[in-house]
Amino acid sequence: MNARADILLSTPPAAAPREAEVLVEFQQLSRQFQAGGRSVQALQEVEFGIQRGEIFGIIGRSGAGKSTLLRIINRLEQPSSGRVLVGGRDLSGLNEAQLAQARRGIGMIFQHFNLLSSRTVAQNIGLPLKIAGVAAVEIEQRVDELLRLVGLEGKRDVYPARLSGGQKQRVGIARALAHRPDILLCDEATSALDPETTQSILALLRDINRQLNVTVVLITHEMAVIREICDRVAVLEAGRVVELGPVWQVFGAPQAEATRALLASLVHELPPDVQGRIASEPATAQSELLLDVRLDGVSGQDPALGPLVAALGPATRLLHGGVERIQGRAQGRLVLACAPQSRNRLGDLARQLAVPVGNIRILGYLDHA
Amino acid sequence: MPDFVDLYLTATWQTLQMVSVSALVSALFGLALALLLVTTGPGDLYARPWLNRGVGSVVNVFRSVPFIILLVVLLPFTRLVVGTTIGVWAAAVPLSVAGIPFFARIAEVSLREVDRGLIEAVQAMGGRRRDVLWQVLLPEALPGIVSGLTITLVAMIGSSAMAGAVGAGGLGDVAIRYGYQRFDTQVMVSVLLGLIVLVSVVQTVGDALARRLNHRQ
Ligand SMILES: Nc1ncnc2c1ncn2[C@@H]1O[C@H](COP(=O)(O)OP(=O)(O)O)[C@@H](O)[C@H]1O
Ligand SMILES: [Mg+2]
Repeated sequence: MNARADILLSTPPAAAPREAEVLVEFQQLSRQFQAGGRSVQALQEVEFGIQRGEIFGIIGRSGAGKSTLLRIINRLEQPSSGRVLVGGRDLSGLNEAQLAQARRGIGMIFQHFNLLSSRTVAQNIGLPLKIAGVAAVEIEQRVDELLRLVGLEGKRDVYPARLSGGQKQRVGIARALAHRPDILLCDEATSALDPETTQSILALLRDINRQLNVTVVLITHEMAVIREICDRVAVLEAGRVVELGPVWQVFGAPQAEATRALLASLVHELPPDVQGRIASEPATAQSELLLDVRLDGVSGQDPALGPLVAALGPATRLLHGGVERIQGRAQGRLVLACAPQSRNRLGDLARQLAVPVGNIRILGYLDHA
Repeated sequence: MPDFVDLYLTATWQTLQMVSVSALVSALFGLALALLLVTTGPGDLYARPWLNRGVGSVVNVFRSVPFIILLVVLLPFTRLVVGTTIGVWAAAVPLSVAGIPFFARIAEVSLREVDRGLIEAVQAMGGRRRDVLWQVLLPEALPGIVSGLTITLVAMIGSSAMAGAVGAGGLGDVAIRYGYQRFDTQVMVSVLLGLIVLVSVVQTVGDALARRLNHRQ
């Protein structure tokens, strides 16, 4: 193949080798809430940047401050102190019309889709354009484009109540992209969807990121979502960024306790409702100790439950796991929740189950919100 | 007896006039009041907490005065507005004054039921406060507002019969003068039947309209 043909056939490099541009920048950002006479520090001195063109993930337990951080980007929430720059611009001090204008460059999608029930799919998608005073003909055209983009051409005049969760989120995405924003904010956008639909929505987000060069900022409590599509990830714990870096690095060699606790759910495939509540420290007196027990079948005995309960206490719960018989030996994993005091009785437990004590790992603590 | 038929038709027409005028006034002012109540509370779109509390209190005062007393208390006001204290138009004044806060509270409930997430979504897409009002609050609450208007109309038909007792005319007037004072059972029954038909029609039409407007399932 000669050089000429080579040039014709090759596609341009995916990422132009240029200086990464910071699109969203948090500077010493803090936010307190006053709730029932108590002050809650939702964000504390958050300082980092999100680059143009990346898919940036924010993870953390429920209440860590993820939504607050995301909503400060488009000013649905105000900082108590510090600054946020979007495209180099500080959005504080804008009047109503200016802020509305600025928000048109920032799309947002939601866990519960937030579609207007009184409007059809097309009317929902066209609403951002309508309120911006775009001409009806132009709206029609753009809505058709967006319907094609999210694969809902056939649902144009249907009301949202007649759509599945995945279809509703597609409408939400189309609506968020109506003004061709630079940024798309996703607040738990797949948390109300089943795993299969989650995959298809993630694929759509990835396409939008690649093809339209939209920077995606997504928050989730599902580690698998981050692993699936994010370039970089920040871990929030009690309002602070405790870890930040490329996903491969953070997930491959987590440094912070909080990250390890969150990742435990990925490794152990815990149910999603449990995932969001794992902490590295017990938060309250009701917190339960989470144990992962690997049964390797060396002893040849079936795991007896009586001694297990005797070792860990009567409040012990089996959260996940199972036992398989391989060549007559019980092999498998159990994820148990028990009283925090049982931490001191792990040796006992290992003896009762006839497994080496190294087979028992502490995953963290389970909060009851 | 053509006399009675004539009387009956006139009375029905008077009731319809009273109720429709009062309902129109109540719908307009009541809805405005409801919007004011839901948008001026602390932390709301147009936060004016003192105004909110003031208006809320006034609404409560009018809601707690029994209609029959309102009829009497409002006599000077009624004369001021329509120049007389008897007749259909005079009855429309107390009916409206009672109807406005009644409907306002019902519409307020529907407006408050609109999901906050929808308001945020419209703000996030670059909507201003007036867009939240016109594109979210009103259209999303519309089915509930229509049901509320139906309830208000039915209540008003009942109250209009009471207004009849103080010289407003209408079906209530006929029922009291002929049916009650002269023990004319036939008149009483026909008036009651008229009221039942009226209420049923209003309720059926209102329900059908609310159902048509509701796309939530
Ligand atoms: N409007 C509010 N008023 C009072 N407290 C709030 C408000 N919004 C959030 N918070 C508190 O701030 C903390 C962070 O909340 P949030 O950002 O929603 O967390 P996450 O999205 O990570 O679950 C929580 O403790 C929450 O209770
Ligand atoms: Mg949240």
